[in-house]
Amino acid sequence: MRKQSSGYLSRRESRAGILFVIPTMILLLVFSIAPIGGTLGISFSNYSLGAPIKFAGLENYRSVLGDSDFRTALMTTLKLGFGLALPGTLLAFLIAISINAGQKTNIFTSIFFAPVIYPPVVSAFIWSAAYRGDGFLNRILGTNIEWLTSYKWALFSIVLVMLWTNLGFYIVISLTGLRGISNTYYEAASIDGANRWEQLRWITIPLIKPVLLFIGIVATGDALQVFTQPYLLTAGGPGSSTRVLASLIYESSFRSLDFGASSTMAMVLLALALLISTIQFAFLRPKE
Amino acid sequence: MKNKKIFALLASVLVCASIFSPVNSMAASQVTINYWTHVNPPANDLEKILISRFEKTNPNIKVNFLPVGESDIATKFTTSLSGGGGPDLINLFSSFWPKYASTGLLASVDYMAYAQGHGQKPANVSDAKKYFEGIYSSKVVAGFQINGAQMGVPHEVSNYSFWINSDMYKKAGLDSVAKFPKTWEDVIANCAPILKSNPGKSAVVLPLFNAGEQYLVFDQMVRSAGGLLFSADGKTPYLDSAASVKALTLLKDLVKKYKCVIPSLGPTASTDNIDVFGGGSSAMLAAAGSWYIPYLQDSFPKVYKSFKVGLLPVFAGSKPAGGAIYSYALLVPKQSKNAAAAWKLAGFLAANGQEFFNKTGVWLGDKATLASAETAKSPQWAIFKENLDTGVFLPPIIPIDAVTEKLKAAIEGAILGTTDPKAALATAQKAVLKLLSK
Repeated sequence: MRKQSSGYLSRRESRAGILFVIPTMILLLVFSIAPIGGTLGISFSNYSLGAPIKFAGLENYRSVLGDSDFRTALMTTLKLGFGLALPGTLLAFLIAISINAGQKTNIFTSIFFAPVIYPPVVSAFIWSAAYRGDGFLNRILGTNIEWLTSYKWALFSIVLVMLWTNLGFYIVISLTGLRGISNTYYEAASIDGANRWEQLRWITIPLIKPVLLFIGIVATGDALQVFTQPYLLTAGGPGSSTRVLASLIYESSFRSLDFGASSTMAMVLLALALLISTIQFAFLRPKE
Repeated sequence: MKNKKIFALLASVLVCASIFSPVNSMAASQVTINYWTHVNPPANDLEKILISRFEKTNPNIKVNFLPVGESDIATKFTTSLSGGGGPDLINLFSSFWPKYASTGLLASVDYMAYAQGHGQKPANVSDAKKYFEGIYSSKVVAGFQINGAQMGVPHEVSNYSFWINSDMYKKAGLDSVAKFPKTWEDVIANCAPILKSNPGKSAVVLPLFNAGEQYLVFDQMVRSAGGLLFSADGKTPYLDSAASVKALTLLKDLVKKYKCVIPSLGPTASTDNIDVFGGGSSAMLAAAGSWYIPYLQDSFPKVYKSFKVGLLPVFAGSKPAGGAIYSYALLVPKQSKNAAAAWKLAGFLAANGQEFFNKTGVWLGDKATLASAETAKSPQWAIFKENLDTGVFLPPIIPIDAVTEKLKAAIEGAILGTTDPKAALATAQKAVLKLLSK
């Protein structure tokens, strides 16, 4: 009996498989695992550029977790994460359904996707002008909102820019998911007398759940790593109200030269991203 | 066989001769230095000309000139240092150098090479040091020392002045000469007519989302209120002093009570208050030095025709207080393999102070340019000089970024938020004390 039939690969095929995987593994090791390992190592030291490295044990973790700036930035980052992931996923799904149901899907997809290809700096400049007191946003809305200079609105304004920037990408993923659902399910449901809402509730949503999970994880990742928009629009202000973890890591390393503390923050950020992704997987895992 | 041996010997001699020949020794002494500076088109254009002159007089030195964006240069410098590369000479904002110097990343000034760059041939280091110190005022020289060591060559020394748009003043029925504000009370008095006659515009623009600019403006206000923000050695903060509270209360009143400032008109983090003023969205500006004139001329010709500049306002009844003196510094990283050539280029650039001033409006901090008849001909120079005379050099604060961030949080909390100035500054003082004690 051939080994393949029992689900195993032959030795020759295994060897070929390993050879094909090796280049990717090397790249992963060099560009992902080794830097993470290095950062983890530095997080246990007091490494500051130009000074000799000394082992610091858990001192950086104690210091960072007890720092009010870190806690504020962490909260801001989490708010951004929720602000982007939830509406981003929901909006992308709804817009994708509308596009999928209509005609000229490519035109609408292109319109929504355009901001994704704009360089973040360009987007920041466009929105910077739009958010001015006399900018077009206030003119269109007939309001006098201080978008970037008030504590109340600054974070929301950044979420809005991030949504505008990333939504197109999430829509494309949702559309791909929707188009992957076989029409036979809908045809069978129609024959059984299911209306549109029932089809959405019992066919589309359960089948697209993994795609929504993926968007949620990607959006959370986008929010946790965000740097450019807050940096270019508000520089973390007013006060520290829009200062995110990535900004704090940048300031701590490249401005204060304290690489030990910044590596610790980076490790905490990584742990947070893993934790959130695990929770998202747990909630959205398809039930047996 | 014998012929072969003779041939091999001759070949070896030829190879050795070619290696140690004068031609090759000249090639070996050829050095290439990398010079990084911040982007400033008028100054960059002039530096290109000066560098080509330097290369002509020093044929063994080639200079790679690289202007880098102001907001990126310190980050790129840090990154390059950590990778073991980077420039041999860098022109960096003066607040940044203490942190690099404190961790031993910078070389102290090579007086001999600097003097050679000036075309001098001093007999020894002591003479070269005297020559260097003779070029600058003691105030300027001291601004680049740490624990007695001279870490940088002054470059682009300046401080903020007060600027008004005389067209907007005229529109408000205000005489731009007679009503040029000398005190903050004058500024407030001018606000109402300006706002009334220039709807949708701001009367004053303040630096926002920019910790460095906010620090410079606030420092002068605190001195004019009779206090200091930091001790001269930069080790003791006085952020919660009565003078600091008075200054922040005024800033808050300018925004909230008198509505002289409309923060939503800018600047944002990616624009600057000089652009808000240049774009005609504000009638008054407190954060630009002599270098602003060529910039206005190039970028905002309309406002260039109508600007007037004067000393920064003070609180009524107090003595003139010039802007906080800041500067750029020519620095050489310790890891540079061509430090002598780099200091020589620094000396050469510094020797052209008058040309810098004439073409770019930038003063390099030298006494000769400050006192020259040519400089005196500049229409606004008397104001800038008085401003410098009454200004105070920024103290060397090592964690400058973190410290100014705390100050920024206090200022923005009071003027854009609802925090009481006294409480905001007390919080900042506590945080800064913690930072400085590290």
